[in-house]
Amino acid sequence: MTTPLIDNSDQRFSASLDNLESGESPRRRQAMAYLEKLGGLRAFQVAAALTGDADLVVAATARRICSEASKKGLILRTRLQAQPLAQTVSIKNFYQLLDEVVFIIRRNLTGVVLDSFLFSIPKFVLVTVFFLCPYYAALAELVAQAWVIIPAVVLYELFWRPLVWSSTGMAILAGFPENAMRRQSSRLSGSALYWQMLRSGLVEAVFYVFLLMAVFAWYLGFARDLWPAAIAFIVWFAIWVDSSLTMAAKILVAKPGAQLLWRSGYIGHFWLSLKFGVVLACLYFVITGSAVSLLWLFGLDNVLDWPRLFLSGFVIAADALLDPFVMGYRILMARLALDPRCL
Amino acid sequence: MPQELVIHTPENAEIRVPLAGMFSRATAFVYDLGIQVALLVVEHIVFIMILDNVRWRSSLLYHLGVVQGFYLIVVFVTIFGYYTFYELFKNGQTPGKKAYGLRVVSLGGQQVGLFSSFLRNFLRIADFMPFLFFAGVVSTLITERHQRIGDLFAGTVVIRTEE
Repeated sequence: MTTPLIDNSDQRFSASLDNLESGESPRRRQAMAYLEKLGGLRAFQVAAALTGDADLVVAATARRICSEASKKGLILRTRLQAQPLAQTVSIKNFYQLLDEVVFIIRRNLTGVVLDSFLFSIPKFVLVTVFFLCPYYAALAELVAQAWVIIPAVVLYELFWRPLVWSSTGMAILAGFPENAMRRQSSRLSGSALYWQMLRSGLVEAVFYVFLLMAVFAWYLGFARDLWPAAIAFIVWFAIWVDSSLTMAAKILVAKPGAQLLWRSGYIGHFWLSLKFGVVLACLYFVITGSAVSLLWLFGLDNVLDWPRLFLSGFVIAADALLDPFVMGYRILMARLALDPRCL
Repeated sequence: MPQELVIHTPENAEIRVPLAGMFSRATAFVYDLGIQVALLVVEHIVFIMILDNVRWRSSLLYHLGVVQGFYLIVVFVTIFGYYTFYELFKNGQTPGKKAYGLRVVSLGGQQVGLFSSFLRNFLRIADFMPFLFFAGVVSTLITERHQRIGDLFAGTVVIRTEE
Protein backbone atom coordinates (compact mmCIF):
# COMPACT_ATOMS: atom_id res chain seq x y z
CA MET A 1 0.00 0.00 0.00
CA THR A 2 1.31 3.45 -0.90
CA THR A 3 2.19 5.66 2.07
CA PRO A 4 -0.12 8.68 1.71
CA LEU A 5 1.63 11.93 0.81
CA ILE A 6 0.38 14.62 3.15
CA ASP A 7 0.74 18.41 3.00
CA ASN A 8 3.67 18.99 5.33
CA SER A 9 6.90 18.85 3.26
CA ASP A 10 8.92 16.99 5.96
CA GLN A 11 6.24 14.36 6.27
CA ARG A 12 5.92 14.12 2.51
CA PHE A 13 9.68 13.68 2.25
CA SER A 14 9.67 10.91 4.83
CA ALA A 15 6.68 9.24 3.11
CA SER A 16 8.65 9.36 -0.14
CA LEU A 17 11.55 7.58 1.54
CA ASP A 18 9.14 4.89 2.76
CA ASN A 19 7.80 4.49 -0.76
CA LEU A 20 11.33 4.28 -2.15
CA GLU A 21 12.14 1.43 0.18
CA SER A 22 9.19 -0.59 -1.01
CA GLY A 23 9.61 -3.22 -3.73
CA GLU A 24 6.81 -1.83 -5.90
CA SER A 25 7.86 0.09 -8.99
CA PRO A 26 4.86 2.48 -9.14
CA ARG A 27 5.41 3.57 -5.50
CA ARG A 28 9.12 4.11 -6.04
CA ARG A 29 8.52 6.08 -9.22
CA GLN A 30 5.87 8.22 -7.53
CA ALA A 31 8.35 8.94 -4.74
CA MET A 32 11.03 9.94 -7.24
CA ALA A 33 8.57 12.24 -9.01
CA TYR A 34 7.89 13.96 -5.68
CA LEU A 35 11.62 14.29 -4.93
CA GLU A 36 12.16 15.85 -8.35
CA LYS A 37 9.42 18.34 -7.63
CA LEU A 38 10.85 19.03 -4.17
CA GLY A 39 14.44 19.54 -5.36
CA GLY A 40 17.11 20.92 -3.03
CA LEU A 41 19.78 19.26 -0.92
CA ARG A 42 17.63 16.51 0.62
CA ALA A 43 16.37 15.30 -2.75
CA PHE A 44 19.92 15.50 -4.14
CA GLN A 45 21.30 13.31 -1.34
CA VAL A 46 18.66 10.65 -1.90
CA ALA A 47 18.90 10.80 -5.68
CA ALA A 48 22.70 10.49 -5.68
CA ALA A 49 22.34 7.04 -4.15
CA LEU A 50 19.86 5.91 -6.77
CA THR A 51 21.57 6.81 -10.03
CA GLY A 52 22.52 3.17 -10.57
CA ASP A 53 19.12 1.75 -9.63
CA ALA A 54 17.91 -1.36 -11.43
CA ASP A 55 14.62 0.39 -12.25
CA LEU A 56 15.53 2.51 -15.26
CA VAL A 57 12.83 5.11 -14.60
CA VAL A 58 14.01 5.63 -11.02
CA ALA A 59 17.64 5.81 -12.16
CA ALA A 60 16.81 8.33 -14.93
CA THR A 61 14.83 10.55 -12.53
CA ALA A 62 17.66 10.36 -10.00
CA ARG A 63 20.18 11.47 -12.62
CA ARG A 64 17.89 14.35 -13.60
CA ILE A 65 17.63 15.47 -9.98
CA CYS A 66 21.43 15.32 -9.61
CA SER A 67 21.94 17.26 -12.82
CA GLU A 68 19.49 19.99 -11.70
CA ALA A 69 21.17 20.15 -8.30
CA SER A 70 24.66 20.55 -9.82
CA LYS A 71 23.36 23.35 -12.02
CA LYS A 72 22.32 25.09 -8.81
CA GLY A 73 25.86 24.66 -7.44
CA LEU A 74 25.29 21.71 -5.10
CA ILE A 75 28.27 19.38 -4.79
CA LEU A 76 28.31 15.96 -3.15
CA ARG A 77 31.50 15.66 -1.07
CA THR A 78 31.41 11.89 -0.57
CA ARG A 79 30.29 9.64 -3.38
CA LEU A 80 27.38 7.58 -2.10
CA GLN A 81 27.02 4.06 -3.32
CA ALA A 82 23.79 3.20 -5.01
CA GLN A 83 21.78 0.75 -2.91
CA PRO A 84 18.83 -0.28 -5.01
CA LEU A 85 16.38 -2.85 -3.75
CA ALA A 86 16.68 -6.38 -5.02
CA GLN A 87 14.41 -7.07 -7.95
CA THR A 88 11.99 -9.93 -7.52
CA VAL A 89 11.60 -12.71 -10.03
CA SER A 90 8.58 -14.96 -9.87
CA ILE A 91 9.46 -18.43 -11.09
CA LYS A 92 6.53 -20.81 -10.86
CA ASN A 93 7.75 -23.85 -12.73
CA PHE A 94 10.83 -25.48 -14.23
CA TYR A 95 10.26 -23.98 -17.68
CA GLN A 96 10.04 -20.45 -16.30
CA LEU A 97 13.37 -21.17 -14.62
CA LEU A 98 14.86 -22.01 -18.03
CA ASP A 99 13.23 -18.88 -19.48
CA GLU A 100 14.92 -16.83 -16.77
CA VAL A 101 18.31 -18.27 -17.83
CA VAL A 102 17.62 -17.01 -21.36
CA PHE A 103 16.57 -13.59 -20.02
CA ILE A 104 19.78 -13.37 -17.99
CA ILE A 105 21.93 -14.21 -21.01
CA ARG A 106 20.01 -11.73 -23.16
CA ARG A 107 20.67 -8.88 -20.73
CA ASN A 108 24.37 -9.18 -21.53
CA LEU A 109 24.12 -10.94 -24.86
CA THR A 110 27.15 -9.31 -26.50
CA GLY A 111 29.42 -10.14 -23.58
CA VAL A 112 28.21 -13.73 -23.30
CA VAL A 113 28.35 -14.40 -27.05
CA LEU A 114 31.83 -12.89 -27.42
CA ASP A 115 33.20 -14.74 -24.41
CA SER A 116 31.66 -18.08 -25.29
CA PHE A 117 32.77 -17.79 -28.93
CA LEU A 118 36.31 -16.92 -27.90
CA PHE A 119 36.57 -19.83 -25.47
CA SER A 120 34.85 -22.25 -27.87
CA ILE A 121 37.56 -21.81 -30.50
CA PRO A 122 39.19 -25.18 -29.57
CA LYS A 123 35.84 -26.90 -30.09
CA PHE A 124 35.25 -25.20 -33.42
CA VAL A 125 38.80 -26.14 -34.52
CA LEU A 126 38.03 -29.77 -33.66
CA VAL A 127 34.74 -29.59 -35.60
CA THR A 128 36.58 -28.17 -38.63
CA VAL A 129 39.17 -30.96 -38.41
CA PHE A 130 36.37 -33.56 -38.24
CA PHE A 131 34.67 -32.07 -41.29
CA LEU A 132 37.92 -32.03 -43.26
CA CYS A 133 38.69 -35.67 -42.50
CA PRO A 134 36.81 -37.12 -45.51
CA TYR A 135 39.00 -35.00 -47.82
CA TYR A 136 42.37 -35.62 -46.15
CA ALA A 137 43.10 -39.22 -45.24
CA ALA A 138 46.13 -38.27 -43.15
CA LEU A 139 43.97 -36.00 -41.00
CA ALA A 140 41.40 -38.77 -40.51
CA GLU A 141 44.18 -41.09 -39.40
CA LEU A 142 45.58 -38.48 -37.05
CA VAL A 143 42.32 -37.79 -35.19
CA ALA A 144 41.79 -41.51 -34.72
CA GLN A 145 45.03 -41.75 -32.72
CA ALA A 146 44.61 -42.12 -28.98
CA TRP A 147 47.75 -40.03 -28.29
CA VAL A 148 46.10 -37.06 -30.04
CA ILE A 149 42.58 -37.27 -28.68
CA ILE A 150 43.30 -38.23 -25.05
CA PRO A 151 45.64 -35.28 -24.29
CA ALA A 152 43.30 -32.90 -26.15
CA VAL A 153 40.27 -34.00 -24.11
CA VAL A 154 42.20 -34.01 -20.82
CA LEU A 155 43.64 -30.56 -21.46
CA TYR A 156 40.27 -29.15 -22.48
CA GLU A 157 38.15 -30.60 -19.71
CA LEU A 158 40.62 -30.20 -16.86
CA PHE A 159 42.42 -26.97 -17.69
CA TRP A 160 40.47 -25.10 -20.35
CA ARG A 161 36.96 -25.48 -18.92
CA PRO A 162 37.78 -23.61 -15.68
CA LEU A 163 38.96 -20.75 -17.89
CA VAL A 164 35.63 -20.79 -19.74
CA TRP A 165 33.79 -20.77 -16.43
CA SER A 166 35.76 -17.90 -14.99
CA SER A 167 35.24 -15.75 -18.09
CA THR A 168 31.83 -16.65 -19.52
CA GLY A 169 30.51 -17.15 -15.99
CA MET A 170 31.34 -13.53 -15.21
CA ALA A 171 29.65 -12.37 -18.42
CA ILE A 172 26.52 -14.30 -17.42
CA LEU A 173 26.65 -12.83 -13.93
CA ALA A 174 26.64 -9.35 -15.50
CA GLY A 175 23.18 -10.13 -16.90
CA PHE A 176 21.56 -10.81 -13.52
CA PRO A 177 18.81 -8.39 -12.50
CA GLU A 178 20.32 -7.74 -9.08
CA ASN A 179 22.93 -5.04 -8.77
CA ALA A 180 24.87 -7.10 -6.22
CA MET A 181 25.39 -9.86 -8.78
CA ARG A 182 26.40 -7.39 -11.46
CA ARG A 183 28.91 -5.80 -9.12
CA GLN A 184 30.28 -9.25 -8.35
CA SER A 185 30.87 -9.82 -12.07
CA SER A 186 33.30 -6.93 -12.22
CA ARG A 187 34.92 -7.71 -8.89
CA LEU A 188 36.38 -11.17 -9.46
CA SER A 189 38.76 -12.10 -12.22
CA GLY A 190 42.24 -13.36 -12.91
CA SER A 191 44.29 -16.30 -11.82
CA ALA A 192 42.82 -16.59 -8.30
CA LEU A 193 39.39 -17.32 -9.73
CA TYR A 194 40.85 -19.71 -12.30
CA TRP A 195 42.52 -21.85 -9.62
CA GLN A 196 39.31 -21.84 -7.57
CA MET A 197 37.38 -23.03 -10.62
CA LEU A 198 39.99 -25.69 -11.37
CA ARG A 199 39.88 -27.08 -7.83
CA SER A 200 36.10 -27.05 -7.47
CA GLY A 201 35.39 -28.71 -10.82
CA LEU A 202 38.21 -31.25 -10.75
CA VAL A 203 36.35 -34.41 -9.68
CA GLU A 204 33.49 -33.78 -12.09
CA ALA A 205 35.94 -33.06 -14.92
CA VAL A 206 37.93 -36.26 -14.29
CA PHE A 207 34.81 -38.42 -14.58
CA TYR A 208 33.67 -36.53 -17.65
CA VAL A 209 37.04 -37.32 -19.24
CA PHE A 210 36.48 -41.01 -18.36
CA LEU A 211 33.09 -40.84 -20.05
CA LEU A 212 34.48 -39.29 -23.23
CA MET A 213 37.35 -41.75 -23.27
CA ALA A 214 34.97 -44.70 -22.98
CA VAL A 215 32.94 -43.41 -25.94
CA PHE A 216 36.14 -42.81 -27.90
CA ALA A 217 37.42 -46.34 -27.17
CA TRP A 218 34.13 -47.76 -28.45
CA TYR A 219 34.32 -45.52 -31.54
CA LEU A 220 37.82 -46.77 -32.37
CA GLY A 221 36.91 -50.36 -31.67
CA PHE A 222 39.09 -50.77 -28.55
CA ALA A 223 35.96 -51.46 -26.52
CA ARG A 224 33.34 -53.83 -27.84
CA ASP A 225 30.28 -52.15 -26.41
CA LEU A 226 29.14 -49.01 -24.65
CA TRP A 227 28.75 -50.46 -21.13
CA PRO A 228 31.88 -48.73 -19.76
CA ALA A 229 30.58 -45.45 -21.17
CA ALA A 230 27.17 -46.02 -19.56
CA ILE A 231 28.79 -46.72 -16.17
CA ALA A 232 31.04 -43.66 -16.53
CA PHE A 233 27.97 -41.61 -17.41
CA ILE A 234 26.05 -42.75 -14.31
CA VAL A 235 29.00 -41.93 -12.01
CA TRP A 236 29.56 -38.57 -13.70
CA PHE A 237 25.83 -37.74 -13.51
CA ALA A 238 25.74 -38.62 -9.81
CA ILE A 239 28.65 -36.22 -9.22
CA TRP A 240 27.02 -33.57 -11.42
CA VAL A 241 23.78 -33.78 -9.42
CA ASP A 242 25.56 -33.74 -6.09
CA SER A 243 28.18 -31.08 -6.65
CA SER A 244 27.20 -29.48 -9.90
CA LEU A 245 26.68 -26.12 -8.31
CA THR A 246 30.12 -25.81 -6.73
CA MET A 247 31.80 -23.96 -9.60
CA ALA A 248 28.79 -21.69 -9.95
CA ALA A 249 28.81 -21.02 -6.20
CA LYS A 250 32.48 -20.02 -6.32
CA ILE A 251 31.58 -17.38 -8.88
CA LEU A 252 28.67 -16.08 -6.80
CA VAL A 253 30.26 -15.92 -3.39
CA ALA A 254 32.01 -12.65 -2.92
CA LYS A 255 34.11 -13.51 0.12
CA PRO A 256 36.98 -15.89 -0.63
CA GLY A 257 37.02 -18.89 1.68
CA ALA A 258 33.45 -18.25 2.86
CA GLN A 259 31.46 -21.31 3.91
CA LEU A 260 28.64 -22.16 1.53
CA LEU A 261 25.20 -22.44 3.13
CA TRP A 262 22.55 -24.08 1.00
CA ARG A 263 18.97 -23.25 1.81
CA SER A 264 16.83 -24.90 -0.83
CA GLY A 265 16.32 -28.22 -2.52
CA TYR A 266 17.77 -27.05 -5.82
CA ILE A 267 21.13 -28.57 -4.98
CA GLY A 268 21.39 -32.33 -5.35
CA HIS A 269 17.94 -32.49 -6.89
CA PHE A 270 18.00 -35.66 -8.99
CA TRP A 271 14.71 -35.19 -10.89
CA LEU A 272 15.43 -31.56 -11.69
CA SER A 273 18.83 -32.54 -13.10
CA LEU A 274 17.23 -35.35 -15.09
CA LYS A 275 14.61 -32.96 -16.44
CA PHE A 276 17.35 -30.55 -17.44
CA GLY A 277 19.18 -33.43 -19.14
CA VAL A 278 16.07 -34.24 -21.19
CA VAL A 279 15.70 -30.58 -22.22
CA LEU A 280 19.37 -30.49 -23.23
CA ALA A 281 18.98 -33.69 -25.25
CA CYS A 282 16.04 -32.09 -27.10
CA LEU A 283 18.12 -28.97 -27.81
CA TYR A 284 21.02 -31.06 -29.11
CA PHE A 285 18.58 -32.93 -31.33
CA VAL A 286 17.07 -29.69 -32.71
CA ILE A 287 20.49 -28.11 -33.43
CA THR A 288 22.04 -31.25 -34.92
CA GLY A 289 18.89 -32.06 -36.92
CA SER A 290 18.70 -28.49 -38.24
CA ALA A 291 22.34 -28.56 -39.32
CA VAL A 292 21.85 -31.86 -41.17
CA SER A 293 18.61 -30.55 -42.75
CA LEU A 294 20.40 -27.40 -43.95
CA LEU A 295 23.15 -29.52 -45.54
CA TRP A 296 20.48 -31.58 -47.25
CA LEU A 297 18.59 -28.45 -48.39
CA PHE A 298 21.74 -26.99 -49.94
CA GLY A 299 22.56 -30.27 -51.68
CA LEU A 300 25.60 -30.97 -49.51
CA ASP A 301 24.28 -34.21 -48.14
CA ASN A 302 27.10 -36.20 -49.78
CA VAL A 303 29.32 -35.06 -46.88
CA LEU A 304 27.13 -37.16 -44.61
CA ASP A 305 28.70 -40.31 -46.03
CA TRP A 306 30.81 -40.43 -42.87
CA PRO A 307 27.88 -40.37 -40.43
CA ARG A 308 29.79 -41.05 -37.21
CA LEU A 309 32.35 -38.37 -37.92
CA PHE A 310 29.78 -35.77 -38.89
CA LEU A 311 27.51 -36.63 -36.03
CA SER A 312 30.43 -36.13 -33.63
CA GLY A 313 31.20 -32.81 -35.32
CA PHE A 314 27.62 -31.60 -35.06
CA VAL A 315 27.33 -32.68 -31.43
CA ILE A 316 30.55 -30.80 -30.54
CA ALA A 317 29.32 -27.70 -32.41
CA ALA A 318 25.96 -27.92 -30.59
CA ASP A 319 27.87 -28.34 -27.33
CA ALA A 320 29.78 -25.11 -28.01
CA LEU A 321 26.53 -23.27 -28.72
CA LEU A 322 24.76 -24.63 -25.63
CA ASP A 323 27.64 -24.13 -23.18
CA PRO A 324 26.59 -20.61 -22.05
CA PHE A 325 23.05 -21.85 -21.47
CA VAL A 326 24.22 -24.74 -19.29
CA MET A 327 26.49 -22.41 -17.33
CA GLY A 328 23.71 -19.84 -16.94
CA TYR A 329 21.38 -22.55 -15.63
CA ARG A 330 23.91 -23.75 -13.07
CA ILE A 331 24.71 -20.24 -11.90
CA LEU A 332 21.01 -19.39 -11.53
CA MET A 333 20.39 -22.64 -9.63
CA ALA A 334 23.27 -21.83 -7.31
CA ARG A 335 21.90 -18.31 -6.81
CA LEU A 336 18.49 -19.72 -5.86
CA ALA A 337 19.94 -22.40 -3.61
CA LEU A 338 22.52 -20.35 -1.75
CA ASP A 339 21.72 -18.68 1.52
CA PRO A 340 21.72 -14.89 0.87
CA ARG A 341 24.11 -14.41 3.80
CA CYS A 342 26.86 -16.07 1.74
CA LEU A 343 26.52 -13.63 -1.13
CA MET B 1 13.07 -9.81 -13.75
CA PRO B 2 11.40 -11.15 -16.88
CA GLN B 3 11.50 -8.89 -19.91
CA GLU B 4 8.31 -6.95 -20.36
CA LEU B 5 5.85 -5.71 -22.94
CA VAL B 6 5.29 -2.00 -22.29
CA ILE B 7 1.83 -0.78 -23.26
CA HIS B 8 0.96 2.93 -23.29
CA THR B 9 -2.74 3.58 -22.79
CA PRO B 10 -4.56 6.61 -24.28
CA GLU B 11 -4.62 8.05 -20.72
CA ASN B 12 -0.80 8.13 -20.89
CA ALA B 13 -0.52 5.39 -18.31
CA GLU B 14 2.12 2.71 -18.70
CA ILE B 15 1.29 -0.98 -18.26
CA ARG B 16 4.07 -3.55 -18.08
CA VAL B 17 3.30 -7.17 -18.79
CA PRO B 18 5.89 -9.96 -18.44
CA LEU B 19 6.70 -11.70 -21.71
CA ALA B 20 6.75 -15.47 -22.01
CA GLY B 21 10.06 -17.14 -22.72
CA MET B 22 10.99 -19.76 -25.25
CA PHE B 23 10.81 -22.76 -22.92
CA SER B 24 7.35 -22.01 -21.49
CA ARG B 25 6.06 -21.54 -25.03
CA ALA B 26 7.67 -24.76 -26.26
CA THR B 27 6.14 -26.71 -23.38
CA ALA B 28 2.69 -25.25 -24.07
CA PHE B 29 3.16 -26.16 -27.74
CA VAL B 30 4.00 -29.77 -26.89
CA TYR B 31 0.85 -29.90 -24.70
CA ASP B 32 -1.28 -28.61 -27.59
CA LEU B 33 0.45 -30.95 -30.01
CA GLY B 34 -0.62 -33.90 -27.84
CA ILE B 35 -4.25 -32.76 -28.05
CA GLN B 36 -3.97 -32.21 -31.80
CA VAL B 37 -2.48 -35.66 -32.37
CA ALA B 38 -5.30 -37.23 -30.33
CA LEU B 39 -7.85 -35.29 -32.43
CA LEU B 40 -6.17 -36.35 -35.67
CA VAL B 41 -6.18 -40.01 -34.63
CA VAL B 42 -9.92 -39.84 -33.86
CA GLU B 43 -10.58 -38.06 -37.15
CA HIS B 44 -8.60 -40.62 -39.05
CA ILE B 45 -10.53 -43.51 -37.51
CA VAL B 46 -13.83 -41.79 -38.34
CA PHE B 47 -12.58 -41.10 -41.89
CA ILE B 48 -11.67 -44.75 -42.46
CA MET B 49 -15.10 -45.82 -41.22
CA ILE B 50 -16.91 -43.30 -43.44
CA LEU B 51 -14.76 -44.11 -46.47
CA ASP B 52 -15.41 -47.80 -46.05
CA ASN B 53 -19.13 -47.10 -45.88
CA VAL B 54 -19.08 -44.82 -48.92
CA ARG B 55 -17.13 -47.33 -50.98
CA TRP B 56 -19.99 -49.84 -50.70
CA ARG B 57 -22.91 -47.44 -50.87
CA SER B 58 -21.87 -44.85 -53.48
CA SER B 59 -19.09 -45.74 -55.85
CA LEU B 60 -19.38 -42.33 -57.62
CA LEU B 61 -18.72 -40.36 -54.41
CA TYR B 62 -15.82 -42.68 -53.67
CA HIS B 63 -14.19 -42.26 -57.07
CA LEU B 64 -14.71 -38.49 -57.11
CA GLY B 65 -12.71 -38.35 -53.88
CA VAL B 66 -15.24 -36.13 -52.10
CA VAL B 67 -14.75 -37.81 -48.75
CA GLN B 68 -10.98 -37.80 -49.12
CA GLY B 69 -11.02 -34.08 -50.01
CA PHE B 70 -13.27 -33.31 -47.07
CA TYR B 71 -10.93 -35.25 -44.81
CA LEU B 72 -7.95 -33.14 -45.96
CA ILE B 73 -9.91 -29.98 -45.14
CA VAL B 74 -10.71 -31.35 -41.70
CA VAL B 75 -7.02 -32.17 -41.11
CA PHE B 76 -5.98 -28.66 -42.22
CA VAL B 77 -8.57 -27.08 -39.92
CA THR B 78 -7.43 -29.27 -37.03
CA ILE B 79 -3.79 -28.32 -37.51
CA PHE B 80 -4.16 -24.59 -38.15
CA GLY B 81 -7.70 -23.79 -37.02
CA TYR B 82 -7.13 -25.25 -33.55
CA TYR B 83 -4.94 -22.34 -32.48
CA THR B 84 -7.05 -19.72 -34.26
CA PHE B 85 -10.23 -21.01 -32.60
CA TYR B 86 -8.77 -20.82 -29.09
CA GLU B 87 -7.03 -17.51 -29.67
CA LEU B 88 -10.26 -15.91 -30.89
CA PHE B 89 -12.82 -17.49 -28.59
CA LYS B 90 -10.85 -18.41 -25.47
CA ASN B 91 -9.16 -15.10 -24.80
CA GLY B 92 -5.88 -15.96 -26.56
CA GLN B 93 -5.31 -19.16 -24.64
CA THR B 94 -5.11 -22.64 -26.11
CA PRO B 95 -5.35 -25.45 -23.52
CA GLY B 96 -1.54 -25.67 -23.48
CA LYS B 97 -1.11 -21.94 -22.98
CA LYS B 98 -3.76 -21.95 -20.25
CA ALA B 99 -1.98 -24.80 -18.46
CA TYR B 100 1.30 -22.85 -18.43
CA GLY B 101 -0.18 -19.40 -17.77
CA LEU B 102 0.43 -17.87 -21.21
CA ARG B 103 -1.71 -15.75 -23.51
CA VAL B 104 -1.41 -14.39 -27.06
CA VAL B 105 -2.10 -10.67 -27.37
CA SER B 106 -1.49 -7.98 -29.96
CA LEU B 107 1.38 -5.53 -29.45
CA GLY B 108 -1.14 -3.11 -27.95
CA GLY B 109 -2.14 -5.69 -25.36
CA GLN B 110 -5.53 -6.41 -26.93
CA GLN B 111 -7.00 -9.70 -28.01
CA VAL B 112 -5.76 -10.90 -31.41
CA GLY B 113 -8.01 -10.57 -34.45
CA LEU B 114 -8.92 -13.25 -36.99
CA PHE B 115 -6.34 -12.22 -39.59
CA SER B 116 -3.49 -11.86 -37.06
CA SER B 117 -4.31 -15.17 -35.47
CA PHE B 118 -4.54 -17.01 -38.79
CA LEU B 119 -1.31 -15.43 -40.04
CA ARG B 120 0.69 -16.23 -36.91
CA ASN B 121 -0.48 -19.82 -36.98
CA PHE B 122 -0.08 -20.35 -40.71
CA LEU B 123 3.51 -19.09 -40.44
CA ARG B 124 4.34 -21.94 -38.11
CA ILE B 125 5.53 -23.55 -41.35
CA ALA B 126 8.23 -20.86 -41.63
CA ASP B 127 9.09 -21.25 -37.95
CA PHE B 128 9.52 -24.97 -38.42
CA MET B 129 12.33 -24.51 -40.99
CA PRO B 130 14.78 -26.14 -41.45
CA PHE B 131 13.98 -28.69 -38.75
CA LEU B 132 11.94 -28.80 -35.53
CA PHE B 133 11.26 -25.06 -35.21
CA PHE B 134 14.91 -24.01 -35.35
CA ALA B 135 14.02 -20.74 -37.15
CA GLY B 136 11.33 -20.03 -34.56
CA VAL B 137 13.72 -20.71 -31.70
CA VAL B 138 16.38 -18.39 -33.14
CA SER B 139 13.77 -15.70 -33.82
CA THR B 140 12.45 -15.97 -30.24
CA LEU B 141 15.98 -15.65 -28.89
CA ILE B 142 17.04 -12.62 -30.88
CA THR B 143 13.94 -10.45 -31.11
CA GLU B 144 13.27 -7.85 -28.46
CA ARG B 145 9.83 -9.18 -27.51
CA HIS B 146 10.63 -12.89 -27.91
CA GLN B 147 8.56 -13.16 -31.09
CA ARG B 148 8.74 -16.05 -33.49
CA ILE B 149 8.45 -15.36 -37.24
CA GLY B 150 4.65 -15.74 -37.16
CA ASP B 151 4.40 -13.25 -34.29
CA LEU B 152 6.59 -10.73 -36.11
CA PHE B 153 4.35 -10.78 -39.18
CA ALA B 154 1.08 -10.79 -37.26
CA GLY B 155 2.15 -8.14 -34.70
CA THR B 156 1.48 -10.39 -31.73
CA VAL B 157 3.32 -11.45 -28.58
CA VAL B 158 2.90 -14.15 -25.96
CA ILE B 159 2.67 -12.87 -22.40
CA ARG B 160 2.65 -14.49 -18.99
CA THR B 161 -0.58 -14.25 -17.03
CA GLU B 162 -0.79 -14.35 -13.27
CA GLU B 163 -3.70 -16.80 -13.19
